Amino acid sequence: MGKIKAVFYDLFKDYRFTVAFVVIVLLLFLAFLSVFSPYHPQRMYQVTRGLPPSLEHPLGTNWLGQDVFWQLTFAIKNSLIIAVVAAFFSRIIAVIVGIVAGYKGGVVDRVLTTVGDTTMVLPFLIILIIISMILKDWARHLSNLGLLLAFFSWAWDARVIRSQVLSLREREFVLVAVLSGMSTFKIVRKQLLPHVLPIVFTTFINNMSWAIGMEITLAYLGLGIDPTVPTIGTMLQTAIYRQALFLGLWWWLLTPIITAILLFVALYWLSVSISEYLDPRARFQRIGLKR
Amino acid sequence: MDIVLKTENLKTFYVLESMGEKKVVQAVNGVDLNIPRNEIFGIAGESGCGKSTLLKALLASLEPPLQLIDGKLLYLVDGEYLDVFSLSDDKIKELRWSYISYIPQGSMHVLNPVKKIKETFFEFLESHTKRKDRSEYLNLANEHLKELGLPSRVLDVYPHQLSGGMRQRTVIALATLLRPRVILADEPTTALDVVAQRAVIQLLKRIQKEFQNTIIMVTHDMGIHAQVTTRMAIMYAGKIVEEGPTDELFAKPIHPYTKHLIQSLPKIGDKEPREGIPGSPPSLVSPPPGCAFHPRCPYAFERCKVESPEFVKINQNHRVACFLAD
Amino acid sequence: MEKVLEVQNLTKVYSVGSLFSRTKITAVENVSFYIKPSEILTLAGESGCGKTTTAKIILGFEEPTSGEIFFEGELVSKKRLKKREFMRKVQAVFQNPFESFNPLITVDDIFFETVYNYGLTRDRDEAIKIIDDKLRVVGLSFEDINGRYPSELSGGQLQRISIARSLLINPSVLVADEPVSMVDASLRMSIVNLFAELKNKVGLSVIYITHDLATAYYVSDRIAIMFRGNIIEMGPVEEVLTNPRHPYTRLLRESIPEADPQRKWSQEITIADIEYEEYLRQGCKFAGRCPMAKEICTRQVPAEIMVNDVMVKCHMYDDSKNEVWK
Repeated sequence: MGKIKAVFYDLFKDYRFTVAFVVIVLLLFLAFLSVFSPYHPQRMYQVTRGLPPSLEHPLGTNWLGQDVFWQLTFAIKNSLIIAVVAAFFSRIIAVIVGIVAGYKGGVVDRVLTTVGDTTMVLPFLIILIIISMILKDWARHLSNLGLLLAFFSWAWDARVIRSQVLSLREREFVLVAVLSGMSTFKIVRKQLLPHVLPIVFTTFINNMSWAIGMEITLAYLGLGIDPTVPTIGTMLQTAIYRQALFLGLWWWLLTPIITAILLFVALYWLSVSISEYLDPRARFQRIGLKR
Repeated sequence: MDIVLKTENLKTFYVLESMGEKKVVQAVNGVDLNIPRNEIFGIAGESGCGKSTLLKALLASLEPPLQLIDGKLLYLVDGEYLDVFSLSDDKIKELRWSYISYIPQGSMHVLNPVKKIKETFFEFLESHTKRKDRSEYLNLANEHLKELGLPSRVLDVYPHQLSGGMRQRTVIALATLLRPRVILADEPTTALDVVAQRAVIQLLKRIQKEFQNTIIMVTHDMGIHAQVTTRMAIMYAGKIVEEGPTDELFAKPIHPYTKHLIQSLPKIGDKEPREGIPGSPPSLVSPPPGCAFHPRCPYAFERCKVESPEFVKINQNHRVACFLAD
Repeated sequence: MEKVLEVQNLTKVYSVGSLFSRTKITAVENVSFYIKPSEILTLAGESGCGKTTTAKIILGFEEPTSGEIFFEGELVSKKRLKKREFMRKVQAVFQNPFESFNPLITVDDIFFETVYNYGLTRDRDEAIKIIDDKLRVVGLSFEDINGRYPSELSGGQLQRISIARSLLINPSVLVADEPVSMVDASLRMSIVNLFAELKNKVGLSVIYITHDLATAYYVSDRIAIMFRGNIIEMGPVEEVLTNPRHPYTRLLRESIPEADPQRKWSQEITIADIEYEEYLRQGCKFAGRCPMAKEICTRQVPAEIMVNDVMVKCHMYDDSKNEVWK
C-alpha cells in the first residue's frame, strides 16, 4: 500500500498528471451520477424545450425536451464504456500476438506480423463504415461497437510489444530463466509480461482516446450506435443535425464539444505523464535516481 | 611544474528524491587535485568509488541529479586560471573540445550509426570551427588521422563496419581534432580485448607525445595505469586516498587499499594463490565513519573507525591519507 | 580418457549485411574440443572470435550450422538427450551480473524456480536449506537474497549469487561466459578462486570463457585460443601461455598490461580496422597482421599440428615439427 502511495506522490509532482487526474475523476463522477438521473436517457419531451442553463437545468435543455446535464452524464458513461471495451480487448489481442510473435519467432512470427500489418494498412475507416452499415443492428450496441473498434486497433501496439519482447528474449535473465527449467509459458508470464505491462498501460489510455474519437466520427456520419442512445458522439451529432446553433441553443452544442476536448486533453496528459514516469531515463531526470 | 587543472575541496553529490525520501550519494567528497601539464594522469578505483563522477565534474558537466555542493574547479587557459563553475554556459561550451575534451566508455553512442564516419567528422568541425568548406574539412580530418597513424579509409565506412578497437580509436581521433590541452578518458578500453586495448593505449600515448597535452585517464585496471600513466591517484568512496608518481606508487604503495589493488592481480608465470579484497565497496549514501576503508582494512585500529585521516606527504610528489603513514 | 562434454566440428554461419549485399560470416569454424571431469578449460580470444557463440551453441540457445555435441559420450540432440536433462548437467553464468537477474523480480525467486522445476523438493523449508547451502559455498546466505531486488546488491555479490544458482542442481559442467569482465579487478579473484575451489572439491568442470589471460593462466588447466572462429592453439595453460607458439597467441600474451611500470610495451601493433574483413580471408585468418606471414599463409588454411602437447594451427610448424621458421 505504501508503494502505491509513493507512486502517486511522484506522479502528482507533474502538473499535467494532477490536472488530468482531477478532470478524469470529475468526469467519472458525472458518469456515476447517471444512476440518479431523474430522466430517461432516450425519451423525448420530458422537460420544456430550449431552456438556457439555470439552477434547475445546469446545462439547459435541448430542442428535443431533454435535460442536457443529465444527458451528458449518460453520454460520458456510454462513451467510456465503448472506449474501455475497445481498449481492453485490443490490449488482450496486442499482448498475446506481440508476445507470441516476439518470443516464438520464425514462422509464427512471420504469420502474425503479416496479419497485423494487413489490418494496419486496411482503410479501416471505410471498412468500419461498411461494417457498421451492414451490421447495423449488431453495431448499435455499445460493447459491440467497442469490439469492432478493438479489432482495428491492436496491430500497431502488438508490433511495439513484439519488438520489446524480441530484445527481452536476448537478455541474460531470460537465458537464466531457461536454465532454471522454467517453461515457456512461465517465462512469458513471469519474466516478460511485467516488462511489457507499462506499454500496455499507456497504450490503453491512448487507445481509449482513439476509440472515443472514432465513436464521434462514426456518430457524426450517422453510423455506429443507435443515435438516440446518448454518447459524446451522438450528442454532438444530434445537436448539429438539429441545428442547435441556428436555434441559438449554444449550450446544447458546446457541452459535448467541451467535454470531448477535456477528455482528450486529460487522457493525453495522463498517458504522457505516466509513460514519462515509467520510462526510466525521463524518470531519473525528474525525480533523480541514480542507477 | 605547470598545473593545468586544479580542484579545491571539490564536492559533487547526487541529490535524489524518490517516493518522498531524499537520498544523497556522496560521489565526489572533497577532492583536491593538481594536475600538471604534459602528463598522463591516472585515476584508479573500484566501480562505485566516484571516479566517473569526478570526471564529469572535471568536465564541468553537472546535470541533475548531480549537483555541485562545494569547492572550485580551475582551468589554466592562456596562462590564467578560470573558475569554471562561475563561467557562463556559453563559455563552458566554448572550452569544451577546444580546451578540454572527453573520451567516453562506449564508442557506439558517439558515432552516428547511419552516417559514414566522415560525416560525423564534418558535423563536428562545422559546429566547432569557423571554416565552411567541406574539402577543407576532409583535408583536416585526413591530416589528423595521418598524424595519429590511423588509416584514412576509416572515414569512408559506417561505424558498425569498424572493429571495436578501431572504432574507439576513431572516437579518440574525433575528440582530439581541435587539439585540446586536456583530455579526459573514462575507461576508454573496458569493452575491448587486450590487443585492441593495447592499440588504444598506444594511440593515447602517441597523442600525448605529439601534442604535449594532459590526459586524465580513469580505469579500474591497474595494468593499464602501469603501462601508460606517469602519475596517478587512487580513489576510494569519493575521496583520493593516495597520489604519486606511477613508478613510485607501484614500487612502494603505502595505503593498504593501493597495496591490495596491486597485489590482487594475477600474473602469468606465477600461480601463487591470490585473494581479492574482502568485502564490497562501501555505499556512497552512508559511507562508514572515519576512514571509509576501515571495514575492509586488515590493519585497521580504533582511530580509523572514528577519525578520517588527513593527507600525509611522503615526499614532494607522493601523499597518502592513512594513519599508518604518520 | 574420460570426457564429460565434447564438441566436434562445430560450425556456425551467419549472414550479415543489407538486403542486397549479404555476406556469409563463419563465426565458428570447425571447432572441436572436449572437457574432462574436474577440469577448467579456458576459451580465450578477442571479442568477435566466436567464443560466446560457441557457448551459446553448447547451451542450446543457438542452433549450429553443423557439428555435434556429446555429453558423456552421448549425442546431444533433440531426440537422444532431452533439453531439460542436458540443462540439469550443464549450467551457465553470464557476463553481466546486473543483467542476469530480472530487475522486477526478487533474486530469491529464480532460486526457488530452479529447485522446484528440477524437482529437488516440493517443500519450501527444504528448498531454503538447499539454497542456503549453495549460497554458503559462494560466501553468502539465504538472508542476503531473501526479498532483495538485484538493484540492492553489488555486481560482485550478484555474480557470486549467479554462480550459486547454477550450482543448485549440482551440474557437472559450468559454462562461464566472461564471468569477471564486468566485475572489479579487486573482486575478480574471489570469483576465479571459487571456480578452482569447486573444481577441487566437487569435481566441477568449468568452461571458462574470457579475454583475460592472466586469470585464465591463474585458474585453468587447459586453454584454447580462438581467432576469428577458429581454435588456433590449444593445450596445457602453462605451456601455451609461457611458451606461446602461434604468432597470435604471442601477440595476446604480450598485450596483457602488466601491473609493473618498468615493463612497458615497446612494439607498435596494428589491429584489424574493418570488422568482417578477417573473417573473409582465405588461408590463415591472422595472415594480414602476422609478422611472420609467408605467401602460403594467404592461400592455404593451416592444418592442426601437434607440437608436444599443444595443438597449433600455423604453417610455421608444417614440416617435421620444426619450430624455427626460416
